[in-house]
Amino acid sequence: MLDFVIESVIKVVVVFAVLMLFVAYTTWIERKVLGRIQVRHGPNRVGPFGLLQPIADGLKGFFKEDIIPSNTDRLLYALAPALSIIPALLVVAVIPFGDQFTLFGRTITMRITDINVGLLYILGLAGLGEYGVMLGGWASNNRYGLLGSLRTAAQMISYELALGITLISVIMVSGSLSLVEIVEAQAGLWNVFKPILWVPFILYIICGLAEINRTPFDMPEAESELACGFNIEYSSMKFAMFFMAEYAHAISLAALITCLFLGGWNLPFVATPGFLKLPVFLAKVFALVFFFVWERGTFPRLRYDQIMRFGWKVLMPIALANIVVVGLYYTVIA
Amino acid sequence: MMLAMFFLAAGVAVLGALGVLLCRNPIHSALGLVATMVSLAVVYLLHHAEFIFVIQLMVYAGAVMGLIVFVIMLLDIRREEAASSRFAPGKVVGVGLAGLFFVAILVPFTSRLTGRMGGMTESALERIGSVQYLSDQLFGPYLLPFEIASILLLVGLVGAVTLAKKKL
Amino acid sequence: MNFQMADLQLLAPHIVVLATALLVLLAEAFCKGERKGYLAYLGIAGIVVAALLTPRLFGPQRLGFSGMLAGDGFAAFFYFILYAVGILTLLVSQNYLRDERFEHGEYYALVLLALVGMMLMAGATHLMVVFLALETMSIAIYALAGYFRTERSVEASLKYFILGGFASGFLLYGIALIYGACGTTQIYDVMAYFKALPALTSSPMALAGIGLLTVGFGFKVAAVPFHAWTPDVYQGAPTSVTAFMATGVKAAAFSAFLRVFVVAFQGTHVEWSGVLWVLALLTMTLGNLTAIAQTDVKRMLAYSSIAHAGYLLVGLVVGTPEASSAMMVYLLAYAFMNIGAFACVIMVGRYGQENTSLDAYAGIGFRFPALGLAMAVFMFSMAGIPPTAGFIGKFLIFKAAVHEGYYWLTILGVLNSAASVYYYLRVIITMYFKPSPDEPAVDGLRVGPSAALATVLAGVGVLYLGIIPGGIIKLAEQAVRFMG
Repeated sequence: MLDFVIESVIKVVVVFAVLMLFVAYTTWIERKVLGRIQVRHGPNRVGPFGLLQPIADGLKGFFKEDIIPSNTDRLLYALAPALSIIPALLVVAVIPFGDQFTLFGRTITMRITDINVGLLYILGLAGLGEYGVMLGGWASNNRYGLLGSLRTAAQMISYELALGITLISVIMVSGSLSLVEIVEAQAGLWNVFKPILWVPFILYIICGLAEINRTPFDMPEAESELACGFNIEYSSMKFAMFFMAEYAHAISLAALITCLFLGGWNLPFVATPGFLKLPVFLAKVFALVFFFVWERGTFPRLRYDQIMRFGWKVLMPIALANIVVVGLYYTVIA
Repeated sequence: MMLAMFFLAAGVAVLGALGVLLCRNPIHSALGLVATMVSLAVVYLLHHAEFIFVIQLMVYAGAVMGLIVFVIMLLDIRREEAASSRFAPGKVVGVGLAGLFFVAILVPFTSRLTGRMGGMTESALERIGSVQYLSDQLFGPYLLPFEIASILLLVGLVGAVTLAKKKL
Repeated sequence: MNFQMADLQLLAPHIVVLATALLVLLAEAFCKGERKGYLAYLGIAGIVVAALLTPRLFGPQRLGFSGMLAGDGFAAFFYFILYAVGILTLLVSQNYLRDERFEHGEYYALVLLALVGMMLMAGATHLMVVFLALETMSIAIYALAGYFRTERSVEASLKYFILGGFASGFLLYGIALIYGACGTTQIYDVMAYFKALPALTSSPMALAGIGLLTVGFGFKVAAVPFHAWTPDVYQGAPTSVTAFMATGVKAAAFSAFLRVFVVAFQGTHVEWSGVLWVLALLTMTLGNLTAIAQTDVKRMLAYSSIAHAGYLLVGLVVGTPEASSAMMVYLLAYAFMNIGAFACVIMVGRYGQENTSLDAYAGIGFRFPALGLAMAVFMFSMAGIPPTAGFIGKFLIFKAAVHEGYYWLTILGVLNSAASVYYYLRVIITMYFKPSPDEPAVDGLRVGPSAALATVLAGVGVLYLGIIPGGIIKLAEQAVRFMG
């Protein structure tokens, strides 16, 4: 019992630290790549290639003055950033980064926990994630903030539905809700290469982007019309927490897509040697993170009513039809 | 350890429920309910009901309460109008009856459980949480209630549209 | 233990009605045109098909879906009551909705969906199914009550919804306690468990569970003191919905009430019959006394419906097979006479003006003889005057009570019934013996072929049951024997 607790605590600390590091350097990647796309340099003053920039930003966040506007709802104003980042961190608990390895005679699995409803747990947390954004805008007592939150809430609720329905086809094919089993079932052939499953793959990417409020679905913080949306009144570390939550969400989305569709730690078509599993997984995650930046540099932002219409009238029907088609194909034909 | 976790979760649930009742601000009340829902989910988890735990998070704490908070924000209800605090005999009777009822529903728990016992061993509890076991039950012996529940949802949908749509 | 094809036979009528409801919804969505009245006939056709599938169920009990749904005479008899309610409601509604400019397919679909819920309640042999079916029925009715979206209609809907939700909570908590006490919620298993463990009859948990179930069902049948919602809801809801609520919901709730209490809790009959004795008396008395004071016919009928719940509760107190069959006949009779009466109330009103006050009825008996005659028949029947169905129902219930030695309850019931004659006859007297004012509120009847047909059918039903009830009574007695 005790060694289990110690092992878990160590894993949590390590995963948390690594995640925070990734979050920091994802911002760096984003700024660098976006800069290149827009034919400029991006950060290049702090450290070589601007590599120390994220750390400088983090320090700045700590030392800036924390402004709390008057007439805010004090409690919720302070709570919202935390509510936003906690679910983002909790998601990582069920993501399997790699298989297992032996250290000092102990078999250590490369994940914090493997619950048999891992996938649903992630969906559940996605539902909780919207509170931070909603309350942040509401509590700061600002018109733009409130509008941003309302848009976020409507958008997240709408796309969450399509997201969940999309996942059903993956669950049907894998026959499990445990992420580890889903990954193991992809040894040899990734889900995305299985018949029809490229449809939920694309759907999932679209819904996922909407769920984490990234371009082209970054309506909640549309600078041009809402002047940053829900986090307009936030400053210093509270703002940084929203910011970190956003990137943590992006990373966990990339990790999820990797697990669900891109075979997790499996190399395509060949058996993966043990020491390569973690690097393979991380490579896929960062390829996806790169894709997220790339598409941000490419697509314009959608109009709000277009987003809603697209979610309900296009994605939802396709997602529903997808279940039927996948179900029929894998039970009748295959 | 488990017991401590249970009391923590149960305590938060009760506090959340009190918050729902006592907060004057509707958003705070709604968040109290969220806290209750989440801690109930934790209680389910402590009982090895992982599936119910996740569904509780997803459906109640996430979707349902999300919509409630959304609607409160959309209508921008800032503060509930203070109910008249004047003394009324009806209130005394009401509180008295409610208290009596509360006692009445507590009484059953003074008695020993008389139901059929057994079967709920450690290994059986493991099974209950598993999605596979649950779905076997749901599509086996409990097929009829499951299907009725789907009719129930349909009725709710049609009813809501009938009541709320601007022009039928 | 799992699903078998044979189980579908038990569910066939429900499936047909449900499919019809879905068809109505689709037709509403895909058919152009303002007039949706034909959808009522589509619904009726569906009910008729279901009715054709039902007689096969009339026989010894078969349980399906792991003991959750019964196909037996008891269920089949109630299905037929509900079919009658459904068909009459659809007929009555069609013309009414058109006149009120509110003709939409959703209404008919909701009526049919509520009907499915009611039928499931009548067939349920598992408390979980009882609860789900009750909710299905109730939610459809909440929506129907607010269907007109006028202030009063919405108020009715909201009141019913909030209190109904509360009552469902009681019911569910009762079920949970019964599960705690018995370890099962299958009705026949509960019965067996009570038999096997006599000490259970004094277990606080079991008794509290039974008490909470009494509250839950008492609310749905509008028994005093759980009746407070009834007058406002019945008055505010569209009249056709009121008719549907008063008859259909009552029949369905009593069917579940009967099966749960008389079958599952027969071991504790001594305990619960005492409580219901008081409830029955209160319900009859309060319903009748308040009805006397009403000057609005719709509201008067609401209180009268409470009083009728009281008479029916007498049958439940008695709890013998004889009493159960008497209640079934009574509920059938009540369906005919009550929907008939509400059909007449609808005809007297017109668009934007319901004309439900008693004064509006002055002199219309001679000006509209057919309506007067119909209303008179229904009022006589409600009052329990022979040769009408209402008399037979009351007679059978009180006979069963006397057989079991409930003399006081019988005497008080008969006295109540006598008091009720006052307000039923007052309607007839106003219709025939009060001169109509110079500018009568009612200058014409809103009547269409379907409403006329409904009234005639109801009238025929009332008189048939009143004059030659032998066949139906025998059928009800057989049905109860199959209940198990």
